[in-house]
Amino acid sequence: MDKKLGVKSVTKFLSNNAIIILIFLLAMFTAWWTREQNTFLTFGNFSNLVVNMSPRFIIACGVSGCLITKGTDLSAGRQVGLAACLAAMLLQQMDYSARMLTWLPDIPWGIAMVIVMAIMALFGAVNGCVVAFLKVPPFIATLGMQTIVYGLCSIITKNQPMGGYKDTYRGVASGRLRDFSIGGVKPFDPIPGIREIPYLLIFAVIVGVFFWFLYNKTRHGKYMYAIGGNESAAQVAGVNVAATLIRIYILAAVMYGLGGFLVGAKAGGASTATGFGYELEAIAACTIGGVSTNGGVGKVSGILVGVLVFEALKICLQFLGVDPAYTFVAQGLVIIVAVALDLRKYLAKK
Amino acid sequence: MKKIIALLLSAMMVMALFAGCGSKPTDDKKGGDGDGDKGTIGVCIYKFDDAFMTTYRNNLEEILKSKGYKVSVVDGNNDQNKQNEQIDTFITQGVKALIINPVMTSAADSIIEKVKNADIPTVLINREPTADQMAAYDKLVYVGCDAAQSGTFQGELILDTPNKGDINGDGKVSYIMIQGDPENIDAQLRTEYSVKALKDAGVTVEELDLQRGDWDRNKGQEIAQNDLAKFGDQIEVVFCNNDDMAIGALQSIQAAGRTVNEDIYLVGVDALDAALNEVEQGNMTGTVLNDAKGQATKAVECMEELLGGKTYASGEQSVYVDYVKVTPDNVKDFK
Amino acid sequence: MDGRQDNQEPRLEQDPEREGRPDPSQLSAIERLYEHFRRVPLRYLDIFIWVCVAALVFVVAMGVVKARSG
Repeated sequence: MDKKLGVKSVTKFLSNNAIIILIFLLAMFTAWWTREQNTFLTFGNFSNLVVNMSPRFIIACGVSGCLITKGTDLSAGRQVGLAACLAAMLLQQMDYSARMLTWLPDIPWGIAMVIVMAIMALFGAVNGCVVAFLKVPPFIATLGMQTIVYGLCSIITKNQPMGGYKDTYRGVASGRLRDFSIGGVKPFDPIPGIREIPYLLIFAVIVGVFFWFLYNKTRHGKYMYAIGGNESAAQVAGVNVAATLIRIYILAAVMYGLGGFLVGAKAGGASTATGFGYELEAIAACTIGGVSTNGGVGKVSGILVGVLVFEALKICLQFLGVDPAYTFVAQGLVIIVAVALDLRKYLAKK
Repeated sequence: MKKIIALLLSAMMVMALFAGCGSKPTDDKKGGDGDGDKGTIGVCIYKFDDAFMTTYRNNLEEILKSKGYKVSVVDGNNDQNKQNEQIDTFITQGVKALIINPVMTSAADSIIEKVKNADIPTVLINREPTADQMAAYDKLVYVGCDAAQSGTFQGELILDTPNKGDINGDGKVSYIMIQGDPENIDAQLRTEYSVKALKDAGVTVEELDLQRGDWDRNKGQEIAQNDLAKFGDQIEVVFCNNDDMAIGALQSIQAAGRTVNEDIYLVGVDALDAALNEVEQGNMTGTVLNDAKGQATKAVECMEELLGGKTYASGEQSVYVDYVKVTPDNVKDFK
Repeated sequence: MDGRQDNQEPRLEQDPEREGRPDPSQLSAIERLYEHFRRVPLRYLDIFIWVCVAALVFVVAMGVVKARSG
């Protein structure tokens, strides 16, 4: 009896965390394969991983709410793109020759960030209302929104890619705590270890903590899981489903806004092509991390793991020198395995 | 179980933090010295499914390998964010030099800042940033073609035809322009200079339509199809900023029952194999060779000079390779 | 409130009997898709997953070999 339980629980452990284990093995392999250069297990590489992961984690947190309530948000990528473009228009250098909004005064990046997030919230509200009140399936509603957002982005930017950002804006993505200065003093500069923390990581941590708190300690979080578990039961139990859904989609859009703002800073430029396809990776990361596409479950720690897995995969494959074509196939396979495992969990449960 | 994994992962991350805190990999540019080879060169392409860049990068890989370098090529997938991440990883890997084909030249500042901070010699190719942007870093050079020249050559190809483009004899050359993506300086200059060449030669021109084809064959076909339906026989010349779009347009032209070089002219740029075929068979008036091999050779040459310690002063950071006109007469030389 | 509870109770008793198939109208698009696979024995799904994992390892291995030789 004991032996049987042992095998079963090992298989369960393997199947629940198969992809994480696979990528972990891949990382070990990559470290070994490139041991001569000794550049894989370095702080620099880890720093890159963290920096790459941060905006994607923020976007994935946004989508997670939609997924947990048995919905989805296919407009995520294009919203990120629009947010990046809006941020671009607000934060170009004053003396840049191809400045988009010539009448705009110099704005601090913090203000621009808030403006962008507020504008994206409107799109989230529309998504939420369409899903909640018009009862349009989220797949269709957000698919439509995806095209609308892309169109709006094309109109606003006239399809001109933008660059020429203020140094402070680009510094948001490239800066670390050691660069942080108040009144001319750099408080973190002398502290070893802490001074190397990238700003992007701080954004990700704040978002992560916020979402953890929201999902686990607030009524909104409880309602969200309830709707995901069984929407009609939740409704009957007195949950205001419509209000919760709208809040979820608005929060998601605000996260896309923040994510787009950071992606723009990282890239140093934005265009209508920015963010294209990001929703696929975000949803895949959530799925790998245990946010089931059939709703009701999902934890912030899972989302973090999912995003890390994807980014680690990309870095490993580049270190190994794998042809980009193979990389695409590998990423696709990871997504397929994640969905198949999710399906398996669902079928095994019932 | 998940908690244990999460704890394990965080423990690993913390360990890596402290383990690596002391060593800065970018100082240690060994990059494979143990084997006695020349090290790895990182190549970033803006988009792998761009027909011209495919020829270019194949040439690059061949030339670099023949010189004893290891090459690693990555696909930016038309996403500047992704390309920046790839550059970061290359820097962490400790590549000896970078050859970068930027996704967005407007974002060149952050690329240049990165490579400057890592002090890695870099050659930018095919998409040219402004001289001001490049002035920030002296181990940086751009190798490409003077896009205006390709436009001028296109115009000259039309001028070389028996009736100088004016097939219907109404005294003006009516054309449609199928453009690449408008951010690309090449698209802008080819669009402008092809027509300018005609105007400078005293020909009156009439633009019937200008559409954006994004360098894509299918879009070229759709645009030509729509315009042929709309303007019919009025169209005398079809200018395409590249061969891929021109070949697409050719399908529509033939489907509409028109014959190139008899009642319509078609020109492209790049001299792709498929296009050379069409020029030889008389289905394209001509194309302009975007000398991928020549550019790749020059790029590697410049890269080696950079590795040898050469620096470029601002204002002198653009190295141009010539285009070549391809007509039915000389097409055999290029096959 | 009480009236509603009365209406609910008979339904609750029925539910354990109909435990097999959830009502399709209750499900989201993805769940309907997943239910479609209920007829497929879990074993086949496991085999599919293992095949995909093998394919993944194979693709990465191919990529590495090509990089090494190329």
